[in-house]
Amino acid sequence: MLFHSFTFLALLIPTLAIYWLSRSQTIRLAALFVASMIFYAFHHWPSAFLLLGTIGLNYSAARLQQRRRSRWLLALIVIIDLSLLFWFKYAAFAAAELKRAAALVGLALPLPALSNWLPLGISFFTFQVIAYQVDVYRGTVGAERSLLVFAVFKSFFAQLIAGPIVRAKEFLPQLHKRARFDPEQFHLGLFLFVAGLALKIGVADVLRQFADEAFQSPAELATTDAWLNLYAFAFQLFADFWGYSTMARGLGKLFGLELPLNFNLPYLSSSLQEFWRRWHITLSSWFRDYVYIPLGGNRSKHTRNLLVAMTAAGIWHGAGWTFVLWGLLHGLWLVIESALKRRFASPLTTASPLRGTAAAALRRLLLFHGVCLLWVLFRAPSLPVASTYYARLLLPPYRGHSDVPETLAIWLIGFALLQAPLARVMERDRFFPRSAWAQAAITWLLLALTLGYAGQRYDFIYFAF
Amino acid sequence: MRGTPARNLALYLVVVAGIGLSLEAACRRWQTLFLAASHRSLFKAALLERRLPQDIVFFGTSRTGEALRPRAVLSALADAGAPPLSAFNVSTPFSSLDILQSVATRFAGSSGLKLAVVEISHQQLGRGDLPWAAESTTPSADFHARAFSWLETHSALVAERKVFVLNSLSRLMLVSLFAARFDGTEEFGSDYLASILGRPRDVERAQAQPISCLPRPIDAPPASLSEFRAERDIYVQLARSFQEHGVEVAFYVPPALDSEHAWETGPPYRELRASIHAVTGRPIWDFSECHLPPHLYRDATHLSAAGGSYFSRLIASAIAADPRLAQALGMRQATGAAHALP
Repeated sequence: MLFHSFTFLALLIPTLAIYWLSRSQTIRLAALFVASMIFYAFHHWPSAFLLLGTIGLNYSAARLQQRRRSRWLLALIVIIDLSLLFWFKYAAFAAAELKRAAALVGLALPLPALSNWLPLGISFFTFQVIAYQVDVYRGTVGAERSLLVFAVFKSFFAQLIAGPIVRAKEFLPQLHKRARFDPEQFHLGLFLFVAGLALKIGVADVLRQFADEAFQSPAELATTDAWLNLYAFAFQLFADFWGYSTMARGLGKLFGLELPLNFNLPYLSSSLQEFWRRWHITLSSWFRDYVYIPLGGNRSKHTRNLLVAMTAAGIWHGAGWTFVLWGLLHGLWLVIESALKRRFASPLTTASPLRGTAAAALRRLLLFHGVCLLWVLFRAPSLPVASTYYARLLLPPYRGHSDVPETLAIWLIGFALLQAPLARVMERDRFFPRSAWAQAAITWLLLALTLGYAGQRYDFIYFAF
Repeated sequence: MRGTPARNLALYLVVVAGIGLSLEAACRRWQTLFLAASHRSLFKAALLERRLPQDIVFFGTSRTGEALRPRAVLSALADAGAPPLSAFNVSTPFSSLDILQSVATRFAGSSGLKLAVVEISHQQLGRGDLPWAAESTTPSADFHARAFSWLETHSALVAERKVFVLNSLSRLMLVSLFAARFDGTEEFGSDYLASILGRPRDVERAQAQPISCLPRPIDAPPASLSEFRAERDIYVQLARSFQEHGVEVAFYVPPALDSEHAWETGPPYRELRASIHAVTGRPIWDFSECHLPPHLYRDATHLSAAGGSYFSRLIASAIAADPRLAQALGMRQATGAAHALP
């Protein structure tokens, strides 16, 4: 079920009504849980059993952990959770690669063909429960006593499929407290939902057509088209995931629940480190807290830790060498950036004649283009396609194309300029001081964009991860 | 926003609903105009609607859009002794035969219309559902599709939502404010701007040496058509609907850069033309074998501005040479200088 569908509205409205009309927190949570299971099972009902199974397993393991703190128990439950993720997401890829490697040395491995069943959101909810198990082990949070509360924590539909990856410490207390209807929270929730919808339908899905076409046959692209379509993908990906996260936050607010911010204008970052603090914030902080820091962080073997964490982040996004390489290159870039930072304290502001605003703008521009170049690996279906795309971007023959589609040009420029004002208007402190007329006018601008470009419904990109 | 949060929420919802209802009312009030903005063919038709009455109207694809320039045709007709006339080019890129039929039928009975010139070409013979027609919901459609379809039926705002697409908004502005400035040959934003500023993209006299370019004679009608039977019937029906309203109709085949792109020279196309001519009795000027110099083309099948101005004069002389058409346009007499370079 997609957020941008009437089917979802038909589920949301009665759930909201039951939630706010009920005085019992148990009924409220039960309503949320049932709605979440319907939401999840609607796409592929057998996956719901997997979700229920992992809820039961992780609930019991955490309760055990609470009673008898055990490193082995933690290792066991993490291995089970990761095994499920591996089986559903990576086993087919690993088997195919194994077969290929064996064939190179003349062996024919009799591996069975594996199913392509990838339960929606498995990467997100697996990471959510691993964080929970580690937190319980560390004593940062207590193991949840109520199975219903734990089930809602793990399955709440707003964040189930594509995040944000909610931490137990932030979310469980909210589920325990019976929220009073807060009109202001509801008000902002409605607006955020509309804004996310517009980002998805009016921006991401419009840019999608250009990016999809370009990556289908990159060999024929003119140099200018290759770059423009890469920008289209960069903005599509951002608008798609930012839109989803914004809708998720809006939905949370409609139920009086606060979900964390997942994007904070990442393309306006001036270093890669800053970029990862602004892009998919809950995933980046997950890798920081549960991979990078436990490995030693910047205290020991900093380079190795960064490379491992970023390569793991790459693999998390998908089963394929393109993702591995994408993560590894991000890791390398972070290592180089960190070394440069230590060697020259902010070189562009102190040593360079380009100081202040100009230097910041240049750094942002360079960062954006660097990130775009790595998006090629993220989007390309295979390494050969990625290398063809890189050739069209960087190598001769340099061909220009004067006939740039009007929509592409306007959307790229428009989104580049309007992303910051749009992010600002979504902030509580900036939204509420506006008059009802201004709020409604902005809402209708976003709704008009959504209505105008509403047509075929596309999945959110991160559903695939 | 001051006031209690509950009051602010209520006010916000009321204002959002109010704007929505106002938009719904506006869409109902100006539904035709909004619909016109949502598709280029309907937009062109809406422009023509605002320019009526017109003496001559050109129908076709983008090939006609480039090939028949109203000012050039009118100027050549005036040179041939025609009284002051008006003309409009209602062709659109990617126009299918179904779009042609829909648009032509809409204007067949327009008062004051004397002559319709209709393109017959490989591109124009393309078929397809009218892009602006509502899609019917299949029985297997999911809840979302059925709910959306219900809304489209009951809400003009949802039905005409394409008006919010960027292109549609600019079309809405053009058709509402500047319709009187256009002759239908504008395609890109710069063309519209030039016309609004009173500097249309016409080339009055093509800088070309004299070229002999005569339309190919129409073949004898075939006993039966090997292809394009349904298409022939549409053309015939179209001619009849014009004739029923006392409007003269003529067909033409646009020129191509080279024989590789002159699909219309193929036997099925020749048979089609012969059959239409035999059934309707209306003239068909076949320029498919007339290859003008390359500088008069924008691409293999589209004339440039200069090529369009030149070709428009050829069509004007073909009109002037046909006594029936010349009479319909109130010309004194056929000039006899048909098909020579004006």
